[in-house]
Amino acid sequence: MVYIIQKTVNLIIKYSMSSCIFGRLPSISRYHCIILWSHGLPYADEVVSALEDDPDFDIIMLRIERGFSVPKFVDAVYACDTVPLQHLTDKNKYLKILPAEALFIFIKNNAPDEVPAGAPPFRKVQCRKMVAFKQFFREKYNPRVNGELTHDHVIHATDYESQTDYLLKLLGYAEGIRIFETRAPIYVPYHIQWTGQYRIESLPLTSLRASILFRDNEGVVTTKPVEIQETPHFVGIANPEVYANYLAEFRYIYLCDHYSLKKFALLQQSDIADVVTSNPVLTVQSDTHYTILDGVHRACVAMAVGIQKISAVIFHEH
Amino acid sequence: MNINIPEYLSLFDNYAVLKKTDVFPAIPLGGDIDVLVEDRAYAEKLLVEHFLRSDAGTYTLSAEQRDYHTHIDLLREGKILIRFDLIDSFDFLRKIHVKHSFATHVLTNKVGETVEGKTLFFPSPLDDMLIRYLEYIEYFETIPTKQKHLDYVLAHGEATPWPYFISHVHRFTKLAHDEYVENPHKYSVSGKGLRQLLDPVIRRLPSNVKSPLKKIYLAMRSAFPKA
Repeated sequence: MVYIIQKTVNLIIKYSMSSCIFGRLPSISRYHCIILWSHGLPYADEVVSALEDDPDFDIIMLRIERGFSVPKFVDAVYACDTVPLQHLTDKNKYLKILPAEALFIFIKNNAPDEVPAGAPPFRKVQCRKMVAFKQFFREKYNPRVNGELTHDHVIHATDYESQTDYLLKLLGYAEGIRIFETRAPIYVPYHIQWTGQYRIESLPLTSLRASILFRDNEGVVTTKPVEIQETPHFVGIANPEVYANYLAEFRYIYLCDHYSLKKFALLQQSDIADVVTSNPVLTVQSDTHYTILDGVHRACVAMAVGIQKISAVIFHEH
Repeated sequence: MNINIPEYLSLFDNYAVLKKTDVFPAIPLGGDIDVLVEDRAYAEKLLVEHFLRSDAGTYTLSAEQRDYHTHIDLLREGKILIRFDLIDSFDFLRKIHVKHSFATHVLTNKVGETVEGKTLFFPSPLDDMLIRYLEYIEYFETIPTKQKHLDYVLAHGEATPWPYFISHVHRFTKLAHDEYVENPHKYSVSGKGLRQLLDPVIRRLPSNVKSPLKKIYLAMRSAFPKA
């Protein structure tokens, strides 16, 4: 009798969760967050490369966090989890003795594969694609003791979207996953405020300036506007080491969008005229020139192939 | 102007061009086309994509999303050639409340017409009359040219029996009732402000008294402006 009741309850929960998932799907994509703890950071390039290779994933933001209070931060990160407390305590024990450094990778999953998983009362929704992704790297890189794989996970990934929302808020993005959603007619990165006021013009590439990061003699990082042909991106087309050094110095801290050598190489192989037509550079106008907010790579590749003018979205300044 | 207006309009998947003129698709320089669309953001996306593919090298596109409208202008040398005024509801009307179902009704009952080889969509005659009537009611006090919409409704009243039109008006609209708003300038039950009450007294005062009183009054007025 107890068995039948238990089965019935499980079925009801399963059914209600499934309908709940389908009932609240506002789009065909889901946002996820992957965390590489400090002992997973040496594999960051491999993880990013795997995400790049998967046609269903779009990398949106990569941000490294440092200097946090490890026990508090780890507890805060896992506070949104719904797994049994004992499991979390065991999992977090190892993390709490690691250096205070973690890479957060936010991605858009264009093919979510969500299923209810686990037994009540800890039943939850899991994206099987994300589970497989993190499992692959855990099996490959989790520390081993006497040849046995430990649960000291190098990688963590959110199972469902509300956890991503929670993590973004934890990192200080008060609007959570809403920052990734704009009602813009063109692609606008999360860090550019969308006001709905803009104009689109064909601009000479010589009128564009890129804000390039540099470190002064005292080690302070600032930006300066430079012409396209002076950017490490443009120079990097002929001499990839220049661009690689630039990325290595600033990525994940100052450059938190998705940039990589592989992505830049692919852009150089593409039909750039077609790329900038569907994805114009985003700019803001100043007295003498247009500063690029997004699209330095596209502008550089366009200039390298001899294009004179490209379509640009010019935001109205407030 | 070589902007292919039917081509732009045919991009939208569910729309109706409102208040079509006799010379459509010819639009005077700087003129606008009002388009009711199902989803303003999606319509804007389609329009921008087409612009980038076809006209970005020749014209400038300027867009502004407002509460109830999205204005998309195509310009050349800083001058507006044409404005697409996209709406997805009639909530912008202030004088008459239009039910949300009206926008859906217009899109459901739209009629197709071939214009320059493209099938474009317009409201049904009855919906068209109501839209023009609403436009007239909303703006006739401030924009005299809106009289043309009433003239249109009257001229087409013979083709569309009046009872149908009246019933259509009642189906989708209701008057926005006027609410009582407290008069901020009313300070006393007599309906006069304090200054007005004191005026007869002040007027009889000698000028050497009136002058400093006036200074005090003006200082107080600037320090405590009326709400």
